[in-house]
Amino acid sequence: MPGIITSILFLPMIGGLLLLFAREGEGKDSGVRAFALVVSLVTFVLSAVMYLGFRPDYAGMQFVEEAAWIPRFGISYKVGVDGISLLLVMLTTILTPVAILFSFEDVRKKTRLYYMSLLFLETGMLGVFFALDFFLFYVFWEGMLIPMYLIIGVWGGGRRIYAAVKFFLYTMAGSVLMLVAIIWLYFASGVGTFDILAHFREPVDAGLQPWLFAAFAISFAIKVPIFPFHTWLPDAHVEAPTAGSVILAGVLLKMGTYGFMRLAMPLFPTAAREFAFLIICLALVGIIYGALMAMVQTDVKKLVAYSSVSHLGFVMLGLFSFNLLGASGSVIQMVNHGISSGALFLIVGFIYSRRHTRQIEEFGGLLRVMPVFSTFFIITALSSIGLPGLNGFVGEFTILLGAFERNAWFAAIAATGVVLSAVYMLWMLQRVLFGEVSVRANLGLADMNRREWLVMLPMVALMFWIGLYPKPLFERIEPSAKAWLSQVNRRVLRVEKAPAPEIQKNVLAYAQRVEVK
Amino acid sequence: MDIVHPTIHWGYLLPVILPVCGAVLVLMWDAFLAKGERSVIVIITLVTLAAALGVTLGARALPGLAASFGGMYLFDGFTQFLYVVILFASIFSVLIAAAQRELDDTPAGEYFGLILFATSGMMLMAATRNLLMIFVGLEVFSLSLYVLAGYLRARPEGNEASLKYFLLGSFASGFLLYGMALVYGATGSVDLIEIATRLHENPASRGAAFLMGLGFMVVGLGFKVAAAPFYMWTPDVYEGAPTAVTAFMSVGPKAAAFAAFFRVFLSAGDAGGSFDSVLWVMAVLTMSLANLVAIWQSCVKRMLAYSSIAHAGYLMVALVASRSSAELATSGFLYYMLVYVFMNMGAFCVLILISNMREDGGTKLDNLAGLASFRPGLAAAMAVFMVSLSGLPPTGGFVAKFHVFSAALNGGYVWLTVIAVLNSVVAVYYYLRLVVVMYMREPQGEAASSVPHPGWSYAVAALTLAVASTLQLGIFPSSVLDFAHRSAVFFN
Repeated sequence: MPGIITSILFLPMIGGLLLLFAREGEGKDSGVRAFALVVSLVTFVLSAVMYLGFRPDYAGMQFVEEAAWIPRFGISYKVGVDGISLLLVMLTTILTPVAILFSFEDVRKKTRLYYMSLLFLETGMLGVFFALDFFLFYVFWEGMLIPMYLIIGVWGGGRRIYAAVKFFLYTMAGSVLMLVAIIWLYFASGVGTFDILAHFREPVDAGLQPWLFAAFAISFAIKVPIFPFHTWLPDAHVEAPTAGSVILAGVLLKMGTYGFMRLAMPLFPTAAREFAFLIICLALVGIIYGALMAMVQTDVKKLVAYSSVSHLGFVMLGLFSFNLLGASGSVIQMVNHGISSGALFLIVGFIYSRRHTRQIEEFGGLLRVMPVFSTFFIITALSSIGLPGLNGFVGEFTILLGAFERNAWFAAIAATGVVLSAVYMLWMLQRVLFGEVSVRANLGLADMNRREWLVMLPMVALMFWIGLYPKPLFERIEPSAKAWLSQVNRRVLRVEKAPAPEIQKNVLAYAQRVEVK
Repeated sequence: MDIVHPTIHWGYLLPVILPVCGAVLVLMWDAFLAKGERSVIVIITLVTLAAALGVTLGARALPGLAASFGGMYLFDGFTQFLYVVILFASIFSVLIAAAQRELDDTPAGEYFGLILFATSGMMLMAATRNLLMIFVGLEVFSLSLYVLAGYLRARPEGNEASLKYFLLGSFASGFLLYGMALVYGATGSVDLIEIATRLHENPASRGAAFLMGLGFMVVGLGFKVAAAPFYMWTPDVYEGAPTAVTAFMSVGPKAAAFAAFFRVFLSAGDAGGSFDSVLWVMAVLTMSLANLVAIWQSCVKRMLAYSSIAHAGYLMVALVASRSSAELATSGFLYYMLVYVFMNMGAFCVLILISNMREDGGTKLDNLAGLASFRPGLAAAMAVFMVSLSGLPPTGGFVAKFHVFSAALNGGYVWLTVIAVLNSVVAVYYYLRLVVVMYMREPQGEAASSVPHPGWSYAVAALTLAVASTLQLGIFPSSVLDFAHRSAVFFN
């Protein structure tokens, strides 16, 4: 299927540009909305075609396309997909139409700019997952900040400007350091290209690795976010409009973990191992801290936001376990978190659009008033907790197995996080759904309408599908995860160029320290 | 005594001759033929500049033919690219001056004549390997700009700007000239190639006198590019001058003075090595101070003044890297300069259109509130320029920064690069604040005037060109990058 990735990648952007010619205003917005939805659905269909054509038994990059872009610097337009990025691409193309469909009622002002931003955002996110060239990766990585910034800042809640600026500055501060590291790597490796795959074949000097790894890691850690770089997240999630939160939690956070997996770890395996203990500790702190913070929130949206910090800690734990279970569990967990936290934000959006508040104390007994809504809410919450039979379980359980293989203590501490997540979620459910209807305004609330059904159905279907039959996903992840593992477990350093004396010393010192398997 | 007839390549001189002739024509036309007829004068100016640009782009800098008048005039690749930069800056400044309401009732012939004279001075400064010609070029454009800065005679701020610029500028010129004299005393020549040869052959010439001379030249040129600590004049002058002049001042003199900077430092070679750390410190100070102060500005024009100082800092990074990584640094500088013309001129153009809409001609941040709701096109253009000035993809500003930072890293200046990128994070804060104000606030104050200025079409042309170029240089930079790399050739 030649050109399939390019079509998936740029279709949303072209759709967004075409919206420039649309008319907006009272009564004219339906055309804009429908067009945006159609564009995102066609993108989804194309990506489904790609999914079906994907060869599960092949570990390398598939559907690779390459074209010279800036030959002078060895920069090319190179895209491809493997088992790791495939699922994240699917997640993106599923969540975007869902977010657009949700926004039909939710967004009333500047609709054209809104849907343009969402479509540009989709291209940016897809580009990050598809890119096989550092420069291309960076362009999408930074380029997608601007539409997200607009979505939070223009259509967000009361403190939206503060949240948008904070989100932008945090992410940018991390990513400029990555830019320095990318250019440094380009000159230090002597490969003469920004092709990521070419850099995989060329080991980086052990003396340089910690610096470059740190620069990449800070950039990704802010995005994930790993404790203590998480402070932008509650603000951004709470202030963003619902669709923004869905995309932010569903896809954007995964770009950080994906960055660790695709770039930071395989490029600098030695440094990754050196930093592993530190990162695992921070991940564990994040798991517990996120859960505890979620427990004390009075705002449902903020609760969901902090639960993300906790769940993403699992992904980091899995990645830095350096084994197959951990790695494939992490990929599944990325997808699962995207689905369940995305669905949770949609649910929060439903009640917010009815009551214009998200305070837990304002609700209670919703089960009697809105039975269908409550059922969806319960399923989603259980999926987030990790109940067997739903998607959350598959990822977290696999990660815990992987962590256990590395160190039983890590698994034990992380398992506490699972328990805590049950505590804060069930407690919240109890206060919102069960009991008597305590606030009179809740008595007349309407149950889910047709559009809301349509929004939630694909999410719930995915929860059950992944929870009951995750085999096809694992089949696609595993070959790539194995290849990834052999890359990050490389221990012998091959140094072809005559290294500088100082670097040579580092290599020698390193070789003595590590037993060669 | 034999009289040596200097070689003169008239074709290569044409890009400078055209603006000078155009200036004379404009002055005469205004005086005798069409008093007060602005549009004719604008068109003459534009045609002259476009012709000069066409000749420049059509020319091929050939080795061996480059030097005329014994090196006083030099048309090498470096010159050619900078001509493109300066001429684009000049064309933009004419277009936006034609659209600025404040300038409507001022004498047109003198204004555009002075712009053309200034242009020729900048071009001469960029196109020479002779210290004296550097000085002559600098004085030609500086004197024109002193007048232009105070062109709105009725405004006290304009007078202040003009006087301040003149006094401090003359002082800086004195430093520059004194530095040149010392360099001449140490090496016995004003020709940069001669100087380089003598420095190489005769180590005694690298003594204190030479270093002091170089130091004074750093002061003089540092003043013209507005580098710290010689940038104090910039905010006041930029704010007081008419916006169209400010736009021109923030780009043209930078290109010319940096050209001299590069030529002098590359020919000083190892002898100028001790200045690497001086320039390093200047670069860091320029970027950091300007960015930190810019955050606090509530006037967009003044903010853009500080932003232009900050960009001088990024260009200094290229200058610092130019000794250890000559080709990348030089081409990076050239590319950056070209991108800067489009994004900065574009931003000033939007600013002029906004102040046109208002009675008081205000350029406060609040005047832009909610611009996206009543002038979506203008707001979108401004957003593109701000994104590019911040150095974010997919705009030219990103590729330019990427290129300059590559040069610095290749030259081994890791910390300098880290400081520079962190500075660009600070800068994002104040650039994006404009986006916040335009897109996330509601419009306030009196309704914008709906009467379009007669020069509206000029501004639209300028904006279209600026937006298209900013995006093109960011998304498909390859051909211009190749041009910049071909042009990173000195003196041959």
